[in-house]
Amino acid sequence: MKTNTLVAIATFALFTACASAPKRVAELDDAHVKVTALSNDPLAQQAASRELAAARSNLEQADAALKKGEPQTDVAHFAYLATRNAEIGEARIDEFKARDEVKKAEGERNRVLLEARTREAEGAKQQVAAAEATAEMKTEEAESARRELAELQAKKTDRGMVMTLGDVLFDTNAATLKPGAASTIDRLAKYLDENADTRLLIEGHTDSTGSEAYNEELSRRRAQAVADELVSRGVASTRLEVIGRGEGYPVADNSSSGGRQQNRRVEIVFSNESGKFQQGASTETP
Amino acid sequence: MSVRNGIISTALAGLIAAGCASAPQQPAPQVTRAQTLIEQAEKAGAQEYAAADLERARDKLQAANAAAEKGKEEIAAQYAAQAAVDAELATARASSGQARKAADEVHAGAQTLSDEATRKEPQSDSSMDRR
Repeated sequence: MKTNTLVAIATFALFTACASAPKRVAELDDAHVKVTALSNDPLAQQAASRELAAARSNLEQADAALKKGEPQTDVAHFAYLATRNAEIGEARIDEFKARDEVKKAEGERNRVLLEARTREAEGAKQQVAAAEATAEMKTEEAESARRELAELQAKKTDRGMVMTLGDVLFDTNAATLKPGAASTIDRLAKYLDENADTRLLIEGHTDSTGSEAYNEELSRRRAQAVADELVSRGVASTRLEVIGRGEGYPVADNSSSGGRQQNRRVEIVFSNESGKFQQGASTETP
Repeated sequence: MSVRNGIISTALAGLIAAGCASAPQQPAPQVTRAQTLIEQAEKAGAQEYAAADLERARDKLQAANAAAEKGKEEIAAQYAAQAAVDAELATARASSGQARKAADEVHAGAQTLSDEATRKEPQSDSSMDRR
């Protein structure tokens, strides 16, 4: 720009020096500089062609007026118009540049937004996939837990899943488990190992033979024996609740030996997977 | 377009003024035109972006009116033509100034956006860690 201006001045100085033209008019010199600078701007044709043409036409009028020896005010007038039109052209070019910047910046903005959105979508997709995998795993876990409970012959009751260890697994009047109970206890321990949040309510029950106090104590010891076996297999005792119910909750008639055998039992109530027992399964309510 | 019209009408006015020096006393078309262009510049926001150019246009218009009152039609026409081109310059600078302002805002916005976009990544990562 500066060089252009200098060149313009130099050219014009040469031109005026050689020509046998009349006096110099300062306004016309300035106008020539301005118009030359505008015409040298690479954006002039694109953004300010009309203004450049008008300025050149003004300049020609000014030069002609000077040549014809018309009043200096007329020369200055046309030079003024040329200068202003050149300045309007400059403003048009500035505006063109600014609008171009906006256009480019908006393109860039859209690109950044698109990138961010793509990234978000990618993240969301990954989260969905992870959630699906987790859900699938949970379904599988629940499925295998159900299968295992079925293997343990647990029955669904209004107290939750309940498994009954029958009288045959205990010695008569004793609280020691027979060796035949081992595989059941093993499976129970394995189940608890795989379902870390499940808790057990272990309830002992007896028939009506013998004193009530004795039966309650016997039922509690039998329940405790089951708990001890589980603890010896690595189950945390805090997950086990032991209670002796005595003879109060028969499941069969105590008048027959078959009924009494059914009543001598240990019931194991399973909590849900978050360690909660169903209502009616807790120690307070029988 | 307006510039060329201005030149033509200036030339015409010159001819008319020269032809009949005792022209009737009514606002010359260049004066009306300059007045209109000044109003356009005001509406375009020239007061904010090109106050000096707008002021010069008003001064020239006043000078044109003063010359016309004294019957100096040729001088009035010149002043009016200069006022017109001053007003056009004011309008051009106003819209260029507004475009520049918009560009600066977009640049600032783009900077903020790109800052946010790059800042977002670690944030979403940490939220995933929490999960």
